[in-house]
Amino acid sequence: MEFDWAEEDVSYRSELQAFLQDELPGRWEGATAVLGSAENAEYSRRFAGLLADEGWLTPHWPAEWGGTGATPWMLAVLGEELWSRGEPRGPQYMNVNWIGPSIMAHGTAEQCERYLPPIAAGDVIWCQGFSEPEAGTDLASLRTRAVPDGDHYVVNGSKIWTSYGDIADHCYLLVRTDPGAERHHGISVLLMDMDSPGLEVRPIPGMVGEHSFTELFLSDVRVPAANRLGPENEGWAVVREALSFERVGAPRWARAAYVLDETLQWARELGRVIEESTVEAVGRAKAACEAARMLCYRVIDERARDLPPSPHANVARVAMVQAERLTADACAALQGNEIMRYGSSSDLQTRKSLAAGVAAGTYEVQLNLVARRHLGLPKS
Amino acid sequence: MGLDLAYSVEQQELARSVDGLCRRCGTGAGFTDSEPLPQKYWSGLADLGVLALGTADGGGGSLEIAAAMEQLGAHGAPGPLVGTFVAGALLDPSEMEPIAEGRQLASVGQPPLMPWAAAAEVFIELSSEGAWLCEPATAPEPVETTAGEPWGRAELQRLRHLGDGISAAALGEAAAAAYLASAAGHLVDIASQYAKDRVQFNRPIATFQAISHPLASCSVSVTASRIMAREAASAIDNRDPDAPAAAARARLSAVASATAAAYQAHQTFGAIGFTIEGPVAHVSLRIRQLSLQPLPQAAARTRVLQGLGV
Repeated sequence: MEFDWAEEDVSYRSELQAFLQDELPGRWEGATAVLGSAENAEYSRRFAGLLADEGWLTPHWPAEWGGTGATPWMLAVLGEELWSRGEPRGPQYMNVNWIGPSIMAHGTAEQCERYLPPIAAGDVIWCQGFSEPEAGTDLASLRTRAVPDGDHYVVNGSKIWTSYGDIADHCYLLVRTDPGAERHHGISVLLMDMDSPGLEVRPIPGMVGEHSFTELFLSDVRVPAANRLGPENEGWAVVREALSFERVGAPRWARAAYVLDETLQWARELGRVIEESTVEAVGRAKAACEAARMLCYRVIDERARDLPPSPHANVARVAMVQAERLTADACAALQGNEIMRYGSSSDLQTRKSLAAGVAAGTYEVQLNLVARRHLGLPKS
Repeated sequence: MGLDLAYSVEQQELARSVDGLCRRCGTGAGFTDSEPLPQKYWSGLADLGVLALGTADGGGGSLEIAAAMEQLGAHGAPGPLVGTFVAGALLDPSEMEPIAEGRQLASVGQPPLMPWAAAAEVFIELSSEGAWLCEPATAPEPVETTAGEPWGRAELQRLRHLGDGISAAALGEAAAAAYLASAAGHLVDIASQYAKDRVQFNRPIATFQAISHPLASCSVSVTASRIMAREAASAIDNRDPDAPAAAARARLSAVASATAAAYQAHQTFGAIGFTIEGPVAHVSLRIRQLSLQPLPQAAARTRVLQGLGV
């Protein structure tokens, strides 16, 4: 057992920090902004290009596609350093961590040639077309229909809560190709160009920062059959595997810990009196961030040992939501009235913490998975 | 006469009038993306006498304020409501008149960041040390807030001491508690309805105890908070020495239950809860706003302890 970082990981972090110090001088003004805000998207595109030039955008990918042989621990270092600075990769995060790897695993040679180099160069934005009005947590009940027509699919339906839909170049789209099949069967993945005729994108203004959701309306959108990723009707397995690539998801604890530190620093600089109950709230938040960090490390440790995905990832996800919420409470206590100032760190953290239990799988579903897989409790 | 937890006929009539006004003015989600304080609504409150409640000239007392605030909370209605009632308890009738008539707005709080400062004409500093009528040294710097209210950062110069402010703060806390409890009750109601309507996995999500139990728990605390707010208002009207502590207890209880209800409503509605046009966001933001007024929660905690002789 060893809780100290390896020398190579320490060096990796130092080099990365030096690079980020140069590229993100001082406090990057978007550091506490909500991930994926439209105004940050262009910045993210430029920044991802710089990361790509330095080999830090897709270091975990195979050398053939621009990887540098980074270990899972190095990838963890990369995630921590970037998330603690507000995730300046923005929407690129999704590309490099699961869309690219999914294309590598299931894509044809032509698909890999077409889609992977732009991702590795940081020059493309993807969105995911998963949720539908009637298929949220119950994603397998999705109804957007794709019907073969010659060498194309004709797609009709709608998607909702799609982040980056208004700025994305491509969509990783889940469709039903066999309406007679039961739930998880009969689903396929299509790689759809966002400039396809028949596709309409409407923004849905949201309260989580500038981050707007979008709704996609698909009316007879023709997607080449050559853009199907993996076998027809077996898309559910493809997407499940895709999402397991990153296993524990984004290291949200790192961002929460950063916001907590920054807010505490803000209070100190202003000479604010920090009352006892606030000290307790800060302590609870700090402990929760550390708990989430350790639980994430357990998942990374599994990955470093080439072990299959386990329920440890669900445990870590639950802990990260708790860390986000306790950090929001602590920041609100530290900032008092300032929480109402639009864009204050406590305001943003509160809004982010509200979304943390909903986005990328609800808190309740994660608890179900912990109960069943981790504790062995029966399904109701 | 023994305990009676119901509002009087007159208080219920006032509540119905406020409810009717809010319905006519279309309070709700529309409030956040139109003007911060629709004139028709605010002058309507003035016409009903709501803004003068608790003042020597206006009649009515804390229970009338609580009855009105419960309705306003149920609609997620905007405005410097708590500040207005606090001002009514502190200012001379002539100073209060333009505020009670809806012609001026009061900004009541702890500088520098003051609620409604960018639109207010009357400024009152209220803290645990006392209350002061103030004026800004320079025009308040407007501050954009998440709930769309025109707050401002101002350096205030004290003009006149308005006393220890304890009774006024208690009135404000009871008013805030009534609003918060009712806003939270509204969120629990609409989240429960949504849970009954929303089908996932071939069943209404309300049939999952992971959904229904938290809502039930919220309902318990919200119900308690609503009664505590009425109790505090009654204590103020009866000049009960325990009134400041009762108001502080009610306010802290309401903040806790409203915050929990807002969270649970967001969780139940999922992504819809985060949309600006959805039914949750504007109420949850108002709950956050009201949870800060009229004094920091730390002051309320101290007041509760003082009530216990600590």
